[in-house]
Amino acid sequence: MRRNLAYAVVGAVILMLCGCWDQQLLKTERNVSIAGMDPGTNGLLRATVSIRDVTSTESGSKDTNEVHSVLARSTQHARELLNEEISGSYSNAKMRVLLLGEEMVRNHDVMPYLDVYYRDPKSPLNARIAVTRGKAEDMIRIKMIGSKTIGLHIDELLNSTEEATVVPHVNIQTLHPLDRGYDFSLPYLVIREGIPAISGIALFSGTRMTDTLGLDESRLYLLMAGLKNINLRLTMKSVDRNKSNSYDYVTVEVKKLKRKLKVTVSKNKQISVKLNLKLRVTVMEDPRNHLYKMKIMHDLERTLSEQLTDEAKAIVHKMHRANHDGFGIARRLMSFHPKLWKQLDWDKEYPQILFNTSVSLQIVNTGITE
Amino acid sequence: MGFLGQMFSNNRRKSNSAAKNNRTAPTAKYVASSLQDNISYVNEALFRTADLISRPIDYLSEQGSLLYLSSVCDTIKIHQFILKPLLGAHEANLDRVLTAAIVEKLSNLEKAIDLMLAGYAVLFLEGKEECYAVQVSFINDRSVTEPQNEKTIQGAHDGFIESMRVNLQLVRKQINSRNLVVRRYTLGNMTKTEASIVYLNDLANPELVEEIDRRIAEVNADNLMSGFLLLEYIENQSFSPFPQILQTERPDRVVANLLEGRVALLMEGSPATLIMPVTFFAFYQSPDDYYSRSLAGSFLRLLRLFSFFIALALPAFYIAVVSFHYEVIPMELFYRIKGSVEKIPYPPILEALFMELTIELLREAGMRLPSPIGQSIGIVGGLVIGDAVVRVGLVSYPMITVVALTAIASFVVPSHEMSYSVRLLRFPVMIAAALFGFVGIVFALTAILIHLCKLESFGTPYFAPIAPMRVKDWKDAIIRLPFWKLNERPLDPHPQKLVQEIGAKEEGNDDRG
Repeated sequence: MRRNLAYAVVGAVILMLCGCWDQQLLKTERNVSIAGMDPGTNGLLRATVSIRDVTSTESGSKDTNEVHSVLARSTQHARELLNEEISGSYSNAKMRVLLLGEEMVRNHDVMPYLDVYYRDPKSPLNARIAVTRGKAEDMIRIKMIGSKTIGLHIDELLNSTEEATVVPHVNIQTLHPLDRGYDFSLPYLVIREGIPAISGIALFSGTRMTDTLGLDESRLYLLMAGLKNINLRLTMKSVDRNKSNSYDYVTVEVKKLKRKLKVTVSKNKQISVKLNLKLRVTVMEDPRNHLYKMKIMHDLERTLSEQLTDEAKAIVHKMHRANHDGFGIARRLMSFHPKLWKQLDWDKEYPQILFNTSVSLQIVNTGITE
Repeated sequence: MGFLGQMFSNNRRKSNSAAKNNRTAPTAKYVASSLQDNISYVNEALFRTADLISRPIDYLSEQGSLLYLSSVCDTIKIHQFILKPLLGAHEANLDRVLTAAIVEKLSNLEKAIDLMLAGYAVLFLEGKEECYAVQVSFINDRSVTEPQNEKTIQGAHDGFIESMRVNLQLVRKQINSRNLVVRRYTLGNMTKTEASIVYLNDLANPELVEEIDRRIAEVNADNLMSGFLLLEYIENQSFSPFPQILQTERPDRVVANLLEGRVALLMEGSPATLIMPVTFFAFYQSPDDYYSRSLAGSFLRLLRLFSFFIALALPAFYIAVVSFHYEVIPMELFYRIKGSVEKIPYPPILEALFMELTIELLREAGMRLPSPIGQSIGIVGGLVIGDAVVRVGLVSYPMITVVALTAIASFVVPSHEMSYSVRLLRFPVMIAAALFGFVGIVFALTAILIHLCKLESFGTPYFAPIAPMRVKDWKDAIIRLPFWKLNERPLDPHPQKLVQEIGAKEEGNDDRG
């Protein structure tokens, strides 16, 4: 009986000891809400994080945050260095946004720094990624915007602009390098009067940023890429493109998008792309208010279609120049023309591709009731 | 378990040998012809107990004496059923004179003494080698009121009381069938408590009845005063956390179970009736389910089953989340919880144990106190301690929320024993969660599930409509479909007749169009 008791005690002790190793108490962790990467001196990485804290008192809770910045050899090294600087143990499991400084993505390959995110099981794979004009550190050092911490602010900013189809939905997971045949674009943030704001999207060629698109262009770009999210609004001139009178603007909301992308290869190996967009839109704002006349409505449809087609062509031109294959033409070639793909020097070939872009627009509704 | 087994088997051997001696029947002693001899024998047999009354009687010029125990006999009945007829009698035949319902003519004096203990008055006559035992027991029943612990909103409001006679009557009142059989037992070598099992002869499985009969007969103990004592003797596994016999004080519940082919055990002196065999789900059924319509009944049942999981695993889940897997918390909640957990000095498991024990203390304290003070305990506990404990910094707000939710969920269980088992089981689950996180919870719940699947109640599977799986029975175990859908009885007690109603409203049988 005494031996049985001893077995029971030893068993219980073994059980109790082996689990505690993996314990990760919430109260001892410091959680990063936003992190930024900038190039440091001598090929090092300047990593900046903002650690968010909520102190609950009887009168309510208060948000605070602290910013730490280290110069490290790699992302994991940066974590070690940060851990030596902050009070609890470092954790990025609840990180919401990863900011990349413009210089970082223009002149350096960022992928090695992301590697650790794909290995750690607690990695925040759904954290959003954005590019900042200037240094990411400067944006994180803003710390608070109103009563919100910078991490929360940028996260919510990106979330709402994603929903309005201003920026693409990108997170660490969708950026994984295995997703080939396709160039990604990231939201592009600027600091405007001390407040972070979206100024469009940054186009990438491979892992390097090559160009940016403005807000109007980015919307149309996302339409052309077939990435329309919950809603998408376009404000354009309704009559004459050169005049600017406050009566001459119209805002439409895209209700339905039909996109046709066709990649053809001719006998002499000339690649051409036919991209055709058909939009069914609702007029949201129209100060002139003559749309009950069919003729005016058709005129408007034609004007807007022409306008959008021209803009689309300009975007394609810009993409060519930036060597940015955002529509995944390469992927289609890989799968449908594998022999040709093996012979191609894609970086040289891509700007040569003929794009035949057209946008047609149809107004399906002009009022409030649908 | 080995050393426990040793300990207990040891004990059992001792009590067995002791009990054997107790059981030897007293040798027969016949009524003597001398009145004085009889009186002095009874007096000696009862060790001159003070409540033995001997009243001399003159009956048609015969000397006699009426002996009874004043503590168990009703003097009004003695007067009415014995003295009055005797005094006005003109006949020599006592059988005709005594008008009581139960009169026994005895020649065995020992038997007569036993009957005196049970509330009989015994009449001895000079020169006769026989005596008359007349039942004049004092009946002090409480009224048939709704049981405090099993209240329903709708439906019958009667409940069992401490008298088995009344309880049997309440059952018979609802089942007017000649198949309703009562088997009587006298239990306890010293207490001699009356008990009876009740079942429907054409429904209950005869093997089941025999098994129950066997187990009751095997019990050899001095004290079997109430069903609670007997329960542990006859249940399958006393060390299982789950109760295997349903206790109820509601006649309607007993009747409904009898009609499913189960057996009920009633005992003198306790309002609790034992129903066996039962399944796990019987403890989550309330008579209210059957008194409301099927949609409402089903909703309530699902709610109760859901409460089982909350009561069992919610604190464990919270502990696992804050000590292992905090990344599963949504972001805003995450920082909120983090903010309030940060300043707590203890690990989450201690925090939870402290709060759970406080709640159990409050409940226990509130139960023992008379109701006006009991309420103030609730206020002190709920409001003052709940708030102060957070301000002091012993426990965090989320933990208070979790523990309070858990406590409420454990109150939902309609049966008290099941509520106790859930409250007990949650501690091992909590410890497992504190040691291994979600993995620990999974292990603990798996162990509980395995135990549930293995457990039997009188040879029938305890986790019945789920393991062994019988989807047909789910419609009365997990949800409650309308009565006309419940064509068959549950299979788990193996009733002799499975069909309980013939599709009244179902397709093809519907003559209302």
